[in-house]
Amino acid sequence: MNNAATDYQKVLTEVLQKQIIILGPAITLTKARNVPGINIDNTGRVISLEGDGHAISVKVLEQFRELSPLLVKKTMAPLLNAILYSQGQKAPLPTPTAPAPSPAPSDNNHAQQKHEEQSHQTV
Amino acid sequence: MIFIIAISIGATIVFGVIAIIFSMREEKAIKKLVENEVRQKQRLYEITMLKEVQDRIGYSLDVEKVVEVITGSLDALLKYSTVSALIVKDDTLVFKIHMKDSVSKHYIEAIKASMLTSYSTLEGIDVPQVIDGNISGVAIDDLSHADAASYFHIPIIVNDKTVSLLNVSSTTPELYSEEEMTILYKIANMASQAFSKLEDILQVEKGKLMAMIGSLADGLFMVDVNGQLTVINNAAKDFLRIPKDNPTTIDLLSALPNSYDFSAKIQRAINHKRVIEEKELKIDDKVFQLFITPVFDESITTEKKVIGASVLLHDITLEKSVAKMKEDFTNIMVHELRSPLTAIKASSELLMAPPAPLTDEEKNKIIGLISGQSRKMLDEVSLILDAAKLEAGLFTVQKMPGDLKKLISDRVAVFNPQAHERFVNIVVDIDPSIPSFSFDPIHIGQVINNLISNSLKFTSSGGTIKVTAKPAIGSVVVTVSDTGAGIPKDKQHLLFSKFTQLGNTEHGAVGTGLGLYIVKGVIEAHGGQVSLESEEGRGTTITFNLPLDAAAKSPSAPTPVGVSQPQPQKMVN
Repeated sequence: MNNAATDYQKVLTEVLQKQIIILGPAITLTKARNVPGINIDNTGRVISLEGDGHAISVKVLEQFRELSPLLVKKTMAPLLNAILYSQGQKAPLPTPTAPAPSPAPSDNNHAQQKHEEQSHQTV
Repeated sequence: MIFIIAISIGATIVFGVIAIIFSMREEKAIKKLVENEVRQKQRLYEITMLKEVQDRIGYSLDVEKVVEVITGSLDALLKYSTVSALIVKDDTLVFKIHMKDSVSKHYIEAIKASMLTSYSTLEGIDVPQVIDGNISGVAIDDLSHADAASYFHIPIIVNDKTVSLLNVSSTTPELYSEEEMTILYKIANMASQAFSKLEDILQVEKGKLMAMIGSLADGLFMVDVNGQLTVINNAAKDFLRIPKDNPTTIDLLSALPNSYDFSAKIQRAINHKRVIEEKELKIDDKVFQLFITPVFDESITTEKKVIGASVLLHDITLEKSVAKMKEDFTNIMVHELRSPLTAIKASSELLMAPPAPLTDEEKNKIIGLISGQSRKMLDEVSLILDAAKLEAGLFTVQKMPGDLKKLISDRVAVFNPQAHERFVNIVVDIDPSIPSFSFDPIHIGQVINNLISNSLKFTSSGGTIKVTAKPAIGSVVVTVSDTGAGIPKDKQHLLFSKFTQLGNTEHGAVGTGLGLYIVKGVIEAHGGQVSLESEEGRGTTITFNLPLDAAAKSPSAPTPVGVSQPQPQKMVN
């Protein structure tokens, strides 16, 4: 996997985990999984990208833009920057920040593991 | 027989297969019908909700109402255990929840925590405090151990700010389909966009209104029903001497006089829905007329209700001071006219019925007194008439060729005895090269009289008054300066105004206050200008110039007939 693909994977993970906190896992994972070529686990971590990372990112963005353009503008700046950068714009590809916290109200590891195992829709 | 049985079995199998095929087709058709029905229902819900939300938004930014519409009709779209809302109200977060299924307190707290985390992530802030609003629907069941197995959040964003966050949750796992969730996002998105547009329009209108309020010369501020300051213009800040850009209610109340119960008046205006007027309110050294007017919300979506009060401060300091000046003037005029009249009356009575026979010398003295007082009265009346003409723009000067040097010398000569009595020197420095030119000798004489008379009033014994006249380019410049009390800087601008009396004179003498007003009028009517230089305790210099006419400007201008060439003169009293 080349560097660009890894970068897209990191940015997508950051953005999707943030969306899980904001919107909840149900809608976030459903919308992200509508895009062919993206493999995501139930925490929003992108396991792999099959194909062009840029094209997949654009499609993911489009999925959420259909849901709410204002939300994309407000919360998906890293992905937008990544896409603009790869299109030859000046904005640099952002370095992903620390992984977003789990949306689950329970913060212990057991609960997190249970959350992943059981269903992506549990609070 | 066997053949018949075989045919029967075969026919049964064929019919059976046909029946199964038809049954499967029917099942498919029914399933398709049900799916269509669901889709139609969803579409109908979406259209109804979009219209309802659009109607609710109308011309009001009431997010809470739109949230109520969405949450109140959720039954028609999907199944849920709870529907919750975080609403931003006056910078405070309010949490509301409606329960369709009995859930535990723990369930509610988990939902609330999840929504707060979502809100803080959206806004990029720490998890905020929240006020608990209504919990409606069925009773809480603390024995329930169910978790929120399915849920999603729907933010309502207005111009980049999250104004509300909805949550739909259920104890049933994987309950919500993409279509159902998307419909709700679509409705919320439409509400977000409508609110954003409306807020943009309101911002533009508010900007226009604020620009208009800001440009008002009157002070204006507005408070809400709780007495909190919402708007204040620059004039009001200047009047109340509030230096801050964004003053608070406390700043405002501190700037108002303690004796005036402002909050009570505001409340009275709001409660009684009527305008309260204060005819005179003194704040520091200014006087204001004050109007407290209740402000109504007259939007079409709400009934007419009071939302605050506006307060208008109209500065009437000048009107009050003009009224006082007029009153003072009337008193002075009565005094100025009454004194000579009293003297004339007493003198006349003495002449008509003397207590003892009067000598010719005594009679002449009394007649002289009557004549002098009559002239004084006539001068005062002339002053008033000139002032009235100046005011009406009807004042004219009667120019004729004359000798300004002689006029000045004559006027100074009149004041010499009076100056001598007070031990004040009058020094005259007149340039002999000043040519004869056209001016109004009566009014210019009056101007010089007035300036010397004023200097004499304000100059102490041992002081000096200097009168100079010099030619300049195209004009003659005359100055009258003294070593008197001088005029304070903050009063100098009032000096040439009508009715102005600047403090007491050296000898307690008063005048009508019209003198310098007329001086200015006369000089300007000649096309000249008057200026003042004064320093308190050091004296005052008043300078005026009179333009020369074309004949006088010419170096070969003839000396007017009957006017002798004056000699350079310097007179010291």
